[in-house]
Amino acid sequence: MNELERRLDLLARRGTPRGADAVLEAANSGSDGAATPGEIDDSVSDATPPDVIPFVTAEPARRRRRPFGSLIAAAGMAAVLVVGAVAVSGLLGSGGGSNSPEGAVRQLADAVSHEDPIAAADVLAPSEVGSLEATVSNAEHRAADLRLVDSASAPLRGVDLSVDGLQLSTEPLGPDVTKVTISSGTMSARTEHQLFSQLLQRAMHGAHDESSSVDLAHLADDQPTFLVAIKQDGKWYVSAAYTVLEYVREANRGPAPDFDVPPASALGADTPDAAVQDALRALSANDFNRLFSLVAPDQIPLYAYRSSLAQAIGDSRTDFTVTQLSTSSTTNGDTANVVLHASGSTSSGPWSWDGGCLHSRDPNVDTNGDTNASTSADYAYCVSGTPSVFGGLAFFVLPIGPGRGATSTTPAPIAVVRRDGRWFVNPVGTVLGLLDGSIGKVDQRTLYATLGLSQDLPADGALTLGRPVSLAGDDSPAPRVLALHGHAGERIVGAFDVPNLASGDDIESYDGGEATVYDSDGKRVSPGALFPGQVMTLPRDGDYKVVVQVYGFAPASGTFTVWHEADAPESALHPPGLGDQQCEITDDGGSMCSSSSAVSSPFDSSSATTATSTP
Amino acid sequence: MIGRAVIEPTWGAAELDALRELYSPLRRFAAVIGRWDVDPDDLVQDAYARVLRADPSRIDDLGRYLRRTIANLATDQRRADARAAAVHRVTVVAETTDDAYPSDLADLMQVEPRVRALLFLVDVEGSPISDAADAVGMSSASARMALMRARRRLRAELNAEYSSE
Repeated sequence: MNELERRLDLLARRGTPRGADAVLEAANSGSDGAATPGEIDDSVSDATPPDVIPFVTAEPARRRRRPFGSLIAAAGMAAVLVVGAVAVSGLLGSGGGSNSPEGAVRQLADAVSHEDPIAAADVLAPSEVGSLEATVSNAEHRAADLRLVDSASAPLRGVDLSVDGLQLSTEPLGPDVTKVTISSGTMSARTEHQLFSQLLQRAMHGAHDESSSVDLAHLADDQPTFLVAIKQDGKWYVSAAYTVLEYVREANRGPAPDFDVPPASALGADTPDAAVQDALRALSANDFNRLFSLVAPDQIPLYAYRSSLAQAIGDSRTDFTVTQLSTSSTTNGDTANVVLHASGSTSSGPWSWDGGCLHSRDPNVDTNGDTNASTSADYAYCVSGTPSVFGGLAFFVLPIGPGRGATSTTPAPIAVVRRDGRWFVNPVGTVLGLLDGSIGKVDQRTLYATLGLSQDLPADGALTLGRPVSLAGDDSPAPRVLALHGHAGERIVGAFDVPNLASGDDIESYDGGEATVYDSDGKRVSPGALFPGQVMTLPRDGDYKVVVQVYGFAPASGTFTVWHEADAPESALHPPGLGDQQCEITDDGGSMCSSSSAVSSPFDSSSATTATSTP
Repeated sequence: MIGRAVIEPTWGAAELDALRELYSPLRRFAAVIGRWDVDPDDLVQDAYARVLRADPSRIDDLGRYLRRTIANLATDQRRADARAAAVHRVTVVAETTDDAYPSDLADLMQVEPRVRALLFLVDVEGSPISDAADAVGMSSASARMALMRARRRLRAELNAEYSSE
């Protein structure tokens, strides 16, 4: 066993094992709580392995309950039921709803089963989703423009959803607010890839049609599944906001909501600017009651749930002061957009918000999620609607590393609404506004990068051997595609030259980026990537594409260069610190690294000239 | 529960024994891929809790299923904590965690967790690359590339460490 293997083995043995029986018993009692150790016969779903479940799932149970963690879990569970029905919606009717709380949930389930987005949207609370129509229509048409779907009117073509065996029970929570618990039922999904767009089929190459189902009654680890319905204008609707807040309350065992809320005229702020400024001051002062009172109660009833939210927040406190604050607003009837500029300090250093980017000086966070206090740098987190190829919530927040002076070129306004003469912050409208901006900025290059199909894009330019390609000034996180005309047997090597790389970066970031070479058939050329010390032999005459991806915290400047092996600088052929080792991918898929170093290495089991080969 | 619309699958003695047999290798895998401040048994327990809700007759390879589950759980934790950390540093006083680890593991802990798990599965446990890639949710090609890069870098760092002693 060489030194690396010894250390890996040491890592694998860390901690004191509790033993199979203890862990299994704890898992068994946590899965549903009722089974005996020998036989588990209760509440077992037929969920398929996590990598094929197409739905958003709840966060796994954590040993430490963090503030807002249950909020995230609740949002996930609400999304399972809501997003499946309203992934894309054409029209929102103003005369929808149902005659009963249970009827609203059954109507939603029926809409899902029939894949009827219009019927589904009709049963969602109009006060919460009223501004969704434009965003969804925008997304539909953009998806069709980019050929992500074949038709804007049939965005779910190829996906078959079904809700079966639904049994419900109801419990009034307050006037016109009822909890509807799902005591049994399953939701199934089936994909038929041949019905997807050509683009999606290419991105899913080799994937098979899949089916999966979830037990709707037990979506969460430790509580039954429910939705909350509210009555508006005589009709019952499913409320996403009440559902999420009720999950947070249940998860934290919080007190019942206080529906005896003062009228809107007694809450909010005098002006649009005051609503935003008061909200920031309240957050800084940890005055959460005041903060909740600044959100329109008919949109998200934070004020009614303030006691349970306070319990969920617990002892956590914000850690920032506000020393400068200014806003500018544009009003249109009962709505307004407010652009905020502010600055102050935290225990780590100064912070500022320039209307779209949050700037702070913080210790690095490494890939383990740990802070690395030995270094600190200025970071910016921009919510200006720049699309990200990194998926998920990174769509909204794009971290920009040090050395790259990020400022928001497009301000991210905060939406505000007026109710009964008072102004309130509109979180849903704000998010939808950002989403609209992001959707509009998704271009073919970004989409193809997200789908892993950059090699199918036309080349952005030509790659000339020995000539550096500048990476400066490219704010897009999508990779560049460069054309290279090569010859059989030609041996090339590439390297990034990236100054001011973020310190504390993980091992894959050392080279600054990755350049992958594809032949004219779209296949990777072995060993796949160009990086220092790794010589690539082109297999045939013809055109190649080199997809150049700069890693994560992109630098403000830098270059990428490819050379003939004979013309390459020493630093590209034999990078500092790596000695003279060369690595090759072997035919059986392993890698072989060799070195002629005269010094025996703890990396190897034997000394002197060594070659390590692994399967 | 009453009125269930589906047949309830059961985990019999044989299936539970299979879970017990997998405990040790799964715990070692969890210890490598998980955060330092997370008890590997917690990851294994979470994975067991999830699989116990599944139909055992529909799981072809229990070990593969559980390794993927652990890898996904570990990834979810890291992503959520990294996103939350960015906001928490400004808005919430961060919770302190004891993340100190031994110096001889520092280089390994700098490796991306899935790549670290690949190194462990391939170099220590002798798994084929395709199986190891599947366990951490990567393609075989990406796994081969990641392994090569990690070995190059770690080899250099270990050589430097050895030379300085």
